[in-house]
Amino acid sequence: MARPVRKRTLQRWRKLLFLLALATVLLIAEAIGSTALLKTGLATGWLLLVLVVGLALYNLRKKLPFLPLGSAVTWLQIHIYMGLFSGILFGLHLQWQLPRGIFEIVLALLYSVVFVSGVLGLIVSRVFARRLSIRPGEFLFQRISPMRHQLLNQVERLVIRSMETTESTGVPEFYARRLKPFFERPRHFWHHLVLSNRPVSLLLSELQSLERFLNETERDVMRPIGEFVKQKDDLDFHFAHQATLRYWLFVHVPLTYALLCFAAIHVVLVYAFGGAIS
Amino acid sequence: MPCPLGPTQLGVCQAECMPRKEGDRYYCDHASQLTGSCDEGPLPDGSCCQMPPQCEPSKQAGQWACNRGKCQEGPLPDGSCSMKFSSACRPVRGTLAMRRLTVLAGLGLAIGAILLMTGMPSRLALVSPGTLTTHHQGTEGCQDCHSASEGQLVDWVHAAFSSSSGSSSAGSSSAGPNQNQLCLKCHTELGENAPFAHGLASEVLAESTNRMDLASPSSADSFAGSLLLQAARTFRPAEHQRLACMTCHGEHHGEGFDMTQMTNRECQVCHSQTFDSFHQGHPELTKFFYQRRTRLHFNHASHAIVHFSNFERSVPNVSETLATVKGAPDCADCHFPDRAGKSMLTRGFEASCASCHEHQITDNGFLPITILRIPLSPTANSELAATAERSPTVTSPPEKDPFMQLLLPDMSEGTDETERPGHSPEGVLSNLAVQQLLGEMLNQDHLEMEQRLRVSLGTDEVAVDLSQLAKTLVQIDLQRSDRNNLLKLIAGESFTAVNAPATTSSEQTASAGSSSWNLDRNPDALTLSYRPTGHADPFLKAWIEAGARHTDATAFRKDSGKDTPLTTVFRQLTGPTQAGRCLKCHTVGESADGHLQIEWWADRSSGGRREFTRFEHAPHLTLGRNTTCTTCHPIVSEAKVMLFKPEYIHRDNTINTNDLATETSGFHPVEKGVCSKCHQRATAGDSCLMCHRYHIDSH
Repeated sequence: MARPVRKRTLQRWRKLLFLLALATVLLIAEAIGSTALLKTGLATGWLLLVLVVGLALYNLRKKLPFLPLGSAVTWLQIHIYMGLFSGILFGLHLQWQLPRGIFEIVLALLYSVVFVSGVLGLIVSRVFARRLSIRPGEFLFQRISPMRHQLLNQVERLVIRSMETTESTGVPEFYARRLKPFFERPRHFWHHLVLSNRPVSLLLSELQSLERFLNETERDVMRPIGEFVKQKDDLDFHFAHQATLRYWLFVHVPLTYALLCFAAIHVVLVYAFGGAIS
Repeated sequence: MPCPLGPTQLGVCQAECMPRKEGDRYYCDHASQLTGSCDEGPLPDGSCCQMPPQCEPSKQAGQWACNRGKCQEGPLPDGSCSMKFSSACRPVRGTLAMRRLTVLAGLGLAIGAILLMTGMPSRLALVSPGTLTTHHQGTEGCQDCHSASEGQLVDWVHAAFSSSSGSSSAGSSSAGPNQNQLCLKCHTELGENAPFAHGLASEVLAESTNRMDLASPSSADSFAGSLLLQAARTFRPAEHQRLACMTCHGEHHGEGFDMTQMTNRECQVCHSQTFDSFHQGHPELTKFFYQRRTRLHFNHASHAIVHFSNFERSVPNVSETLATVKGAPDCADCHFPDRAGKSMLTRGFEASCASCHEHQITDNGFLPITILRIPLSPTANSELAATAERSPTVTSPPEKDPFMQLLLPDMSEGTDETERPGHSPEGVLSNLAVQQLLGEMLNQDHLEMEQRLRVSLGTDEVAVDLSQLAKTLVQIDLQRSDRNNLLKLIAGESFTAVNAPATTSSEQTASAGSSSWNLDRNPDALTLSYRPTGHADPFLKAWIEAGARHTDATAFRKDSGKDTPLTTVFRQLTGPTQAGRCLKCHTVGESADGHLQIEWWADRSSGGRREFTRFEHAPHLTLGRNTTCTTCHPIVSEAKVMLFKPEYIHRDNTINTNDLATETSGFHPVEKGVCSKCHQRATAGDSCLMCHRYHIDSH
C-alpha cells in the first residue's frame, strides 16, 4: 500500500517540477522578448487563449468517452497542470498588474474565478474524498435527503409516542425547539467542511442535560434520539462534502464558457483598436 | 440494495431501485421519501409517473381493508391502495442536468452582457482598457487614436480581421490609418523619421553608430553583458526597421503613468556597445559639458583664483542690490538656476562683470569708430591747425574707412582725393553727396538713409535689418557747436567760413563719457566718429550683428580679401584696438546657414532642440553643504591658470570649432564617478532616461 502512494507522490513532484521548469522558461522568454521590444503581450495573450480553449476541451472530452483521445485520467492530469500554468501566463499577460478597464476587469475576474474554483476543486477532490472515506457510513448523495426524512419521521414517531405515554411536555418542546430544525434540513454545512463538531456536541450535551428533568419513560424515548442525532450529523457531514465535490463545477464550468466568450471579444478589441499590432 | 438492471437511459427504473447512475437526467426524490423506493422512476419529461399510495391496506378476515378508514372505494383487489398521493412526488433534475442548465444560463448571460456592453452608447468607455495619461486627456475622443472606434461590434470584428490581414506599421489598412500614423498626426515635433530608432534616418543612425564605434571600440572583455540581454539582442529590431509607437509607449495605464519609461536593458538591446550600469561600463563624461568652447571668453580659474582675490567687485547680495566683496567667490554671485531648474544662468553683465569691465568698454585709449572722414585742403589745414587739437591716442585712420565705403561708395573709390567728385581744390566741402549724407544724418532722415544702405549693399541683402542700421546712423547726439558747424557745411558754406572754434581737448574728454558721437577736426581731415558709452551699445551691437549675419563663415575664415562692405565694417568694429572691444568677451560662432554668429549670451540654451543628453541643475543644488558647484565642476589648479592670453587682445577670429585647446572655461571635466556616487540603481537611480532622450533632433 505504501509503495503506490510513494510512487504517486513522486510522480506528482515530477509533474510539479516540470511545471516549474516550464514556467521558468516562459518567464525567461517573456523577459527576453520584452527586452528585445517584441510584442510579448500579444504572444502571451494568444498562448493563454489557446490554453484556455484546450482546458475547456476537457469537459468536451468527458462527454465523448468513446473517442480514442487518451484516457480521462491523462486528460485530467494535463488539465490540472496546464491550468496551473495558465495562471502564470495570465499574470505575465497582465504584467502582474491589475486591469483598469471595465471590460478587462470583467475578463480578468472571470479568469480568476475559473482559476481559483479549479484550484479549489482540485483541493476538494483530493482532500474531501479522503475525508469521506474516513468518516463512518457510505451514503449516496441522492439518498441523503430521503434518509434525512426517514430519520425525521423516526424521531417524530418517538416524540409522539412519548406524548401518548406521558403527559409531560419536556420532550415535545425540546423536539420543537431544537430537534425538528436540526432534522428537517442539512445543518452545519461550513462546520463540517472545517471539521468542527462543536454544533452537534452542543446538541448532544443539551440532550444529556435534558435527561435530568425526564422521567424513566421519557428517558427511554430520548435515548435512541441521541443516536439519531449522530446519524443525522453523519448525513450532514457527507452532504456537505459531497455537495461541495459536486457543486464547485457549477462555478468552474459555466464561467469557463463565459470566459471564452469574453476572451473572443477581447481579441477582436485588441486587433480592431490596433494597439498591439501596429 | 444494488440494482441488477439499473435504470433506462431516460432514468426510468426497471426494477425496484433508485435511479442513481451518474448521468441520469432525473431521479425521484420525494416519492422515495414516502415509500422508501421509486418503482418506476420519473418520466423522461421529468414528471413523476409513480404516485405512492396513501396507505397500506391490511388483510382482515380475508378481505383487504383500509388502515385509515377514510377510503370510500377501499383497497384494490390485489390489496394495494386505490388512492394515490396527487402531489407528493416532486421530481428534481440530476446534477449533470442542472450543470448543463447552468452552463447554458452562464453562456446566455455572458453573450447578453457582451451585447449590452458593446451596444450601449457608452460602449467605448466600457471597453476602454483604462484611463488615459493626463497628456492625452485633451483628445476629442477615441477616434483621435483609434480609427475603428466609431463603429459597433460588427465593425470592430471587420476592422480586426482587416487589420490582422493587411495592416502593418508601414502602412494603413482598409480599416483606416494605423496607430503610428494617428500618433504622429499630433506629434509632428518628432519629425518624419519618428518611427525609426531615435527619430533618425537610418543612414544618419548608421553613420552615428560607426562614429561611436570608432571613438570607443567595443571590447568583449569590458562587459560581457547579462545573458538575458545577449539573448534579447538576437531578436532586436533591425536598424532600418520602423518601430510602432506602442513598442515603447503603452497607454491606458492611468493618469499618472509615465509613458516614456523604459528599462536600461531595453535601451541597450539595440546599442552596439553595452554595459552593466552607469557605475560600471558607462563611458566617462569627458566631453559632455565642455564639448564646445564657452560662448563667452571667460576663464573661471583665473577669475576665482586670481582676480577675485585681488580686486574688489560688486555682486548681488540677498536683496539683489549690489554689494562690494573681495575674496573667494560664491558661484551664486554670478549664476542662478532658471525657472525650470534646468540650466544655470548668468546674472548678466551689470550684476556680474560691470564693476571690473565696464570701463574697458568706454576706455578712451582705444580707437573710436570712424564714420565719416573728409580730407581737408592745405588752406583749410593751415587755419585749422591753429585751433584743432588731435586726440593724443588716436592714430591715423585706415586709408579707406569701412563706413565711408558703405555710405559714400563713389567717393571712396577715387585714388586721388583731389580728383574726387565734389571735392574742390580749395578744400571747400561742396560735394553734394557728402552734404546729402550729413543732411540725412543730422535731420534724422532714416528712410533716406535706409535707401542709401540698400543701394550700397544691394537688393539681395535680406538677412540684415537695414531700417535698424539706418536709425543708428541718424540718431546723432553731437555737441551743439559741432552740430551747428556741420549744418553750416551742409548749407554750402566753406569750411574756412565756419567760424566756430574746434572742440577743445577738455571738452572732448568731458563729452566722451556722455556723448557717443564726436566731430574731430585736425589739419588733415574732418572726422565724425562714434564711441560706445557702455555695455550692449546699440550702435555697435546692431552693426556687428549685421556684419556677422552678412558674412560667410568659410570665406571669412579663409580671409580671401574679397570682403563685402558690411564684412569690412565687421572687421573694423571687432578689431582688437577698436573701442568697445565686444569680442574681448563674446565669441564668434557659425550659424546653421553658414554665416558668422556672435554669441551675445552666455547660456547654453538649445532653443527647444531635443538633444540626446539632458541635465537638470535644480535637484542637484539641494544636496547639502558637502556638495557645492565645484564638487562637479572642479576649477583647474592655480598653476594652470593663464592670466593673459594673446588672443584676448588679438583675436584670431577663430570661429567656434569646438576646440577645447582654444578656449576653456577653467574647469576640469566632470568625472563620472562624482555622478555615480549617487546615481546607482539602489539610490538615486541609474536609468538611461534620466540623462538621455530617445527622440532627438537629427540636425
